[in-house]
Amino acid sequence: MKAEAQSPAAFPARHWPLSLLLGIFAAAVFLMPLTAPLFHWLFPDLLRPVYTRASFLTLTLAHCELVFASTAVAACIGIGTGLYVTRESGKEFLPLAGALAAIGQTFPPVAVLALAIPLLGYGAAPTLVALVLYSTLPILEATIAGLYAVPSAARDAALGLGFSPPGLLWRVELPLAAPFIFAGLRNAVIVNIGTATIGSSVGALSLGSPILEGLSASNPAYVIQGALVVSLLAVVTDQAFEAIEERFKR
Amino acid sequence: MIEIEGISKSFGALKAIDDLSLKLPEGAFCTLVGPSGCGKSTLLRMINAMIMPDSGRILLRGTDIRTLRPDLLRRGIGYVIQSVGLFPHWTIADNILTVPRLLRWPEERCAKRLDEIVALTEIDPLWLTRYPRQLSGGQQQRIGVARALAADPDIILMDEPFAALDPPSRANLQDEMRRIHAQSKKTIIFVTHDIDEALKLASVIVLMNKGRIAQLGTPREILAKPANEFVQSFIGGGATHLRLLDLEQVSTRMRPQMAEQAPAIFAHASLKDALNLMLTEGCTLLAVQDQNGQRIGTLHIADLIEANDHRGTA
Repeated sequence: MKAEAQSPAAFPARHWPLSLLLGIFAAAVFLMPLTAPLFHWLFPDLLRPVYTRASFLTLTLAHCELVFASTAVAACIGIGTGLYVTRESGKEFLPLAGALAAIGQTFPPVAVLALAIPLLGYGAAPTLVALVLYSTLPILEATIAGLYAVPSAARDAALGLGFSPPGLLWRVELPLAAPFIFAGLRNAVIVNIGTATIGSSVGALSLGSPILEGLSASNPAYVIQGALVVSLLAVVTDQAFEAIEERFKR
Repeated sequence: MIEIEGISKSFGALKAIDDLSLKLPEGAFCTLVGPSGCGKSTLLRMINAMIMPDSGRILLRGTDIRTLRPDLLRRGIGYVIQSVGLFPHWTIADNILTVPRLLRWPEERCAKRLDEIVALTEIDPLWLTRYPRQLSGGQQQRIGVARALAADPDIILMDEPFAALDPPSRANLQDEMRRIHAQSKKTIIFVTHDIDEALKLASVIVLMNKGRIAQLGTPREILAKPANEFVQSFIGGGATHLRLLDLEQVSTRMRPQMAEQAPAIFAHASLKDALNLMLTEGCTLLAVQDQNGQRIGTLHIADLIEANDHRGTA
């Protein structure tokens, strides 16, 4: 699930239309209870072949909430830090910021959860912390890369022609860095959609709930159902980003 | 107009500008020329406060530039750099109107000014809706010049603007700058390491070496009376007299007699062109004609040698 989420570029070059993917995704979310005969046929030993503790709509919404909230915070931190360390005044913190973000990225999310529980208790809060830590790096890296990709000649010309530093940032640097930052956001969202599933191990409601329950209760049908919906959510989101990027290119 | 008073600037141990003073009159076409590392670009970039001097001061129209907000100061000074630096996400029209928009000119004034600039810099109006990447290097720098002129600044700074261009584009833009300078009487400060470019364009040449002025003068003065050995070697010793011929027009040495059986040359051509034509045609006499092709005199090879008679006094 993770590998697939982290490499959206590996998805076949010929895209399915977004509306078709959305249709499949909606069908999976809303029509899951109707698949009971199928899963019963696949796993005849199971008493309950479809996860019913919460509806898949509830799980999906809770999952999206986690992803949205954590990515929003990571974006504020990542973009804000990226801007600061590329300014004249913050230059000396550039290596430090890179190192901190890399540590956040290499720290296993499960370990973050374990460490956060004593401070934040069970539920969504430690999950959010783990997701924020995990997704700040791609956004920070993309922001720095985008700002460094602004041609130095354009920056020199802009200053020489009389842009103020904020004017340079808003009208030259950010528009030119935007595609990079957007790609970083896309990456972070996709990674978070996959990673948010582990939140269920500390009691956060997410699409990981059926997966974890399936693992602990030896119910492979639950695992498949949770994984299926998460994968579809990741694919649909990725294609939605793709569509937005295409529109911006024009 | 521009008064530079005793400025110095060091980068670490390197003294880029060493107690340099310079006064430039309004309407001058001043080339700052010298070997790389002589401080010419540093000097240029201090005039619009891109680099601040360690000591000394720079006055523009009597005002110390340190007392002005740098971005506001720069909006009143045109700026053209070797790497052009057009904004890749803006159309050519938007690029040209960069400074008028910074100055918050109303849109109709911007539109009117765009038409004027397109005419002045001979830009193809078809380019206006394109993006910089769709133009060649020479075309991009033409836009760079147009952008510098857009808000009608009375001072324009140019940092080796044509050094990266192919020779035809370079010659073309040099002619363009000469024409624009003649039409507008703007004060232009033009950095180059190419002495021929400096001689071709300048009304005043500032020849720099090691952060100081090695010689200041008109192209003719510098060629005829190099102040020291450095200047002598920089202007290229032996070719001096050919370069002097390049600075003078046929009309200044022409005799009023007519000659029918001679190759013709225009009166506004340079004496160097005349010599070249004599060598090509294997003759010692040329017929001089005006712009309409009307014969108005002759030029003898002896007139060229006479043109250099200050050689003895130099």
